[in-house]
Amino acid sequence: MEKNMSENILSLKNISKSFGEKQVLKDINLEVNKGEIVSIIGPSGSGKSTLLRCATFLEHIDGGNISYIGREIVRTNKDGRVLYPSKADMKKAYMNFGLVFQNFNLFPHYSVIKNIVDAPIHNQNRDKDEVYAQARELLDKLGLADKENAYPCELSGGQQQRVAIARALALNSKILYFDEPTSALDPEITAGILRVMKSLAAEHMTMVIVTHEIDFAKAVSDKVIFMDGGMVIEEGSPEDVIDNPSSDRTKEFLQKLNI
Amino acid sequence: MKNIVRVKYLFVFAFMLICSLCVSNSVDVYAKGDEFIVGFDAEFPPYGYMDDNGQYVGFDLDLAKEVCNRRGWTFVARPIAWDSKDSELASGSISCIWNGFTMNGRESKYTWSTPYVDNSQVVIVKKNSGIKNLKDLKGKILAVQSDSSALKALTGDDATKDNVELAKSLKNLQEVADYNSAFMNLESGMIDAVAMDIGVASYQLSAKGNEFVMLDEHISSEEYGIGFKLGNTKLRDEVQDTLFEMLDDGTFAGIADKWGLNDSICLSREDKVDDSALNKGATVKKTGIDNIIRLLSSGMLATFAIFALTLLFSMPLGLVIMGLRMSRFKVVQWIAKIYISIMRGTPLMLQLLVVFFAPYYVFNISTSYSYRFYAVIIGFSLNYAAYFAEIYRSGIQSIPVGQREAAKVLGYNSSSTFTRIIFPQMVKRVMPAITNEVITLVKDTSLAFAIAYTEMFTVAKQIASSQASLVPLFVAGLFYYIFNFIVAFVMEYIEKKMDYYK
Repeated sequence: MEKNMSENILSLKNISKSFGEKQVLKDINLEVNKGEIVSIIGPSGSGKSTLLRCATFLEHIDGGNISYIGREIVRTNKDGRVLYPSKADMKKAYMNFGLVFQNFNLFPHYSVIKNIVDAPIHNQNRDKDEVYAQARELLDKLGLADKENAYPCELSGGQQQRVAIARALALNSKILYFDEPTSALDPEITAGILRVMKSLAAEHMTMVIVTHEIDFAKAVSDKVIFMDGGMVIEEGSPEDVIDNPSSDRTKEFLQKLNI
Repeated sequence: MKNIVRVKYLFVFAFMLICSLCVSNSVDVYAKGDEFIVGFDAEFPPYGYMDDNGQYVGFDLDLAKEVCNRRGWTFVARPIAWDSKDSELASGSISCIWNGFTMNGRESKYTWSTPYVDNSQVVIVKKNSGIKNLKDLKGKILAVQSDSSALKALTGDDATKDNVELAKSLKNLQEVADYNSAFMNLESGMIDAVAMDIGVASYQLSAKGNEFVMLDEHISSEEYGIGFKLGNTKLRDEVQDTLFEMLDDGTFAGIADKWGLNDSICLSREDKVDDSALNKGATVKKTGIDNIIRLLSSGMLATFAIFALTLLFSMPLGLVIMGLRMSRFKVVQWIAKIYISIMRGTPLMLQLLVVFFAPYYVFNISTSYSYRFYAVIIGFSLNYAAYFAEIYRSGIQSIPVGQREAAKVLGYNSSSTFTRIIFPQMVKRVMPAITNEVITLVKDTSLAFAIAYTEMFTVAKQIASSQASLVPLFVAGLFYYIFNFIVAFVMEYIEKKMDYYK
């Protein structure tokens, strides 16, 4: 896959984050360009989900800079103080990305279609008819055309996760984050979700995926990052990191997965 | 002076506790012989009341004690709810009613002793009120104790023409539970006059200084006797004979002197009751069940008004308190916490009294007559809002944090996150707990009697005591049950409506 280096979508610089005494992110740097697909792998507690939550402003960072599309949104000044923008600017910053959660987090009191259209109509002030048309198109593409008026509790886990993906896509954001999107699903259903993600990859959707599916990561990623103990241990092409890891810790992790 | 009064009322509840202990102690002292249980209204000085040390004292109790001493009986003073005196007597839980008990109009309901006190009904007004005689009461608010002689004299079947006209000329004839609250009402200007027994009036006037005056014109004259269960002439004769002994040796006059009632006593052997005059077939006039239902229905309207308005105000107010309780600011959080703790930790009845009397006793603002109803609604709303706030909070805290996170990354700001995502889910989660509260509220409405607001239960108690029958209370119970049945049905319907998602 040919990389389009022209536009930088996400830039994380020197990100650090602690929960109390425990430092969970140590000086992390990550650049994601348009159309690039980045997978983050690593053992539980390595900080990969936290990194995603920091990039999506669900957690406040303790130090570092976060930029979207060349615009600095969170920065750290000379005194080491982290500066977040005003509420209004924050709302604009949220428009840059979509996030798919491990446990879907659909709104249970909204129907499937309402889950998808509510945010674009209410928060992005987009045209109602246009949003509904887009939502139906997405549902059709994800094989949920007949579930438009169902409620989340009536759907299987896999169907719920596809609705969650449609909800994130309907925002027309520049980048899509996946936080272990298949961890709460059965293996056979997992395959279905991974297929959806592969088709998004084929459309050059910019994505950052935290996952335990190594084969999937290898198949779709332009870049693989291995994290452990709050640090990036190794990063590079899937061939480099997964097939020929240079670090012992990466090797150890991959070996454990293969057993 | 005001401060002392305020403190006094605060301690009334503590006194009640102490007194229940005192009663059981006095039983232990006279452990031998038969028990003679005197039923009395503990708020009727100087005949029977609680003194500053929490002891039951009074003219009638002293007489009864002396009778017991002479007879070798165990004296027991049992304070009763005045409205339930007939049920108490009928069930044998008291031996007699001895408590400045008016005979007039009740001749056939009890077996009476010879009258021992002559009492007239008089009117007390505030000094400088401009009310000089009974005619001046036109368009004013006059308070009387429920089921009291004064009330009977004004509205009873035997009321004189003049008294009926007097009652009609009033703006309102307000029934109150006890004379204490009547005087507090009078002092704070919520009512214009109180009608009561002359003995009580003289006592209150000497106790309250010169804030009040008694009108020269009297509403009626009447006599006090000791009331025994109809047909219990044996006990009556024993008590009466002992009283005559006490009259002969001067003890009776001595006790009267101690209580300042020299001018009122009238015990005389010449008046000794003659049982042949007693009409054995005499019965209390009974009202039909249809009439009871009609009377209660009017009270039901008041009950429903309290219920509906309390919900209308307390539910949104609960939301506000919950907001404060979950505020980011510790100080605000603590204020809400203290508020909830007080509202849940003290009796609703006490809160109603505070809301009702605070404007005058704390802020010195005279309230209008209609404030009584507002006080009920304010008291109930403040109390229920505290409970609703905690229910809402538990509902919100049970919503998974992922819902807020999803809303955040989808660009909902904090207010639309609450209105569109959190609030609708909270409502569904708290419905069962809300149903519980709403059903409790239906029954709690009866507490409005604490500040003499006549809702259904007050009406039921009034009919029950005037008819010496429990039927009105059962009918009231049935009304509450039907009310709650409908409430439960409606709430279940709403819960089902929200069942489209889990």
